[in-house]
Order: sequence, then C-alpha cells, then structure tokens
Amino acid sequence: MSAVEPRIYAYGIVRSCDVHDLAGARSVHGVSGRAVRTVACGRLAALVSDLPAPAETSLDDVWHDPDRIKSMVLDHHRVLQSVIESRTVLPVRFGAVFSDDDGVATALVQHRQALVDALERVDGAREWGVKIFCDRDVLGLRLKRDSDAVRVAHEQIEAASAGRAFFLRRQLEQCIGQEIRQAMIRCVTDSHQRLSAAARATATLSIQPPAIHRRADEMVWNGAYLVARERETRFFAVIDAVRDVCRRSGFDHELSGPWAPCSFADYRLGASDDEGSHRT
Amino acid sequence: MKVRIGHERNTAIADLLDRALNKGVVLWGEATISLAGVDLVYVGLKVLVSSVETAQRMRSVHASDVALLGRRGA
Repeated sequence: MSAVEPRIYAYGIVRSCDVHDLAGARSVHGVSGRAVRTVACGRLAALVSDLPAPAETSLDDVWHDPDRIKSMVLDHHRVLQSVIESRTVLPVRFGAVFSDDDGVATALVQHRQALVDALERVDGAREWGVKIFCDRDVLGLRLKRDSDAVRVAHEQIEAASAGRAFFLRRQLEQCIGQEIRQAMIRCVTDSHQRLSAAARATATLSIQPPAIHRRADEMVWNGAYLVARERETRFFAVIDAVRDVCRRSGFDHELSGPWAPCSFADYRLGASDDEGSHRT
Repeated sequence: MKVRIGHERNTAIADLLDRALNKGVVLWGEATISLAGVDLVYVGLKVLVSSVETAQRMRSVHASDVALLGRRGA
C-alpha cells in the first residue's frame, strides 16, 4: 500500500504537559521490548516505540501470527496501564503503525481538535468493567418462593389430574421463563442505573459467550463505566450495594479494572474523507 | 490504588482483546502504514479460543459482523 517501511508503533495520546510525569510509562517496555517514548506536538503528545526493522520481521507476518499478536496486545495494554496510574491517556486502537516521528506528529496536528476534545472527555477518569452473571437455578428457586404466579402454578399442578398436570407443567415452564427474563432485566436495569449515577459515562460491551467467560452461569450484562478518580470509592460502594441486593436472586457482579478509557475513545479519525480502517 | 480484578486470566485476556482490538481511537494519518484490520480481530480470537469448534463458531459470529466476542446465541 505504501513504499515507506513501517517504523513507529503508537499506544495512546497524552497531554504534552503530562509528559514529564510519565516516568512509569518509560520504565515499561513496549512491543518487541523497545523503549517507550513520546512524540510531542503542541498540546498533545503520542506515546510510541520503534518497531524492529522490517528486514527482521515484516508487519504482514506479525499481523497473522497469533502468538506475536498476543504478546503485542499485552505490551500495548501494559504501556497504557502504566500511564493511568497517574495520568490521563487517550488509548489508540491496537495496531497503529506510522512511518516515522514526523508522521505521528502530522497525525496529531491533523486531528488536534478532535483529540483534545476526546482527552477532555476522559480527563481524570478511568474505565471499570462490570459484568453481571446469572445462575438460573438459584433464580428459579428464588422465584418459586417469591413469585405469586409461580407459586400458584405449582399448587395447581399438585392438585391437578395427571393429564391436566402435564399441561399445567408446560404452562409453568413458560411462566418461569418469563419471570426469569423479567428478573434479569430488572437486575441489569437497576444495577446499570445506580452505577451510571456514580459514573461520568457508560458504554455497553458485547456479552461474552460461555466459551470465553468459562463460567457455569450466564452472562447477562457487560458494561464499561468511566469513573472519575475521586468518585471511585463511591463507585465501589455502589457495586457492593447492588451485589448484595441481587446476590440472593442468583446474580453476581464481577468488576474489572482499572482500564485505560478504551471504551470511551471509540473514534475514527480519517486521513481525509477516507474514514475506514486499513492495513497494508 | 488497589486493583480489584477478581476474575480468571482467561476472562481478563478476553476483556483486554475486546478493548485493544475493538476500542480506542483509530488514528489514520498520511503516514499511517497499518491499522488493526478485520483479519486482526480474527487472529485475536484465535489467540483466545484454542479448540477448532469454538474458533469456527467465532468465525461465523465474526462473519456476521457482530462485535469481537459476539452476542450469545438465543
């Protein structure tokens, strides 16, 4: 696609005034073990590191090698994590490679206002992930005790003839299915509302299939919350509170983080009118 | 700050891949050589799921252009 060979890998954007306080980031090695440094341009600076010379490894080979990708994603993550300990970073999506420092600086100039605005939105805040899992068996038992509709249906089955009991049992299954669904919606809605109140912004993430989360219970919510540092204690208190309320009904809230605000930096800044993502 | 990640390594990697490959600023400039493309998302999934069966299921999710890890099937 381009005659210029790739050289510079970019992790994220910080404010120039924060560059001197990024000792933590500089002590962490970047992809391929190279040192992390900054390319500053006006109020913005990009966190970058050099990639091995193309003669050593072609980028195309790298992008198709799962083991390399895994280690690079971990390096990318580690660099961003080292920044969020003390400063704000706008994460760049994995895989952005520039020809040279000038190219990075040019991109900063080109998208200056959008990047400044985006940094402003995540300033002083970090991302926390909250997943809600549901154990259907526990919830079902709970509903059997607490739901009038389910309890009445059970009583009717016990009193009914064999043929009618069969019919009623099918009705009961449908009823329990509906009640379970409603209970899930209630738990997710309530939890999300309370967590949102303690957060600056929220984002919905994809529900992970069991092959990924490897839990016996079902994932019913996966959300990201952008929380100002000074509000984190409050946010954790809310998590604990909603967890206590929902636990009896078979729900479990799983917290992850802090993350760099990746889910709140989902912008596509194109070269000109070309906004798509590209690879060589 | 005490980190409160309380889950398995596997889930942590899934969360990490979802954020690194699907989220964050896509910064495209004149000198951009390469950006994470669609193929890369699939490579990420291969890292994540080792069994052939799961990888195939993921590929079909991917093909339907659902986000990285897909919604759970009904």
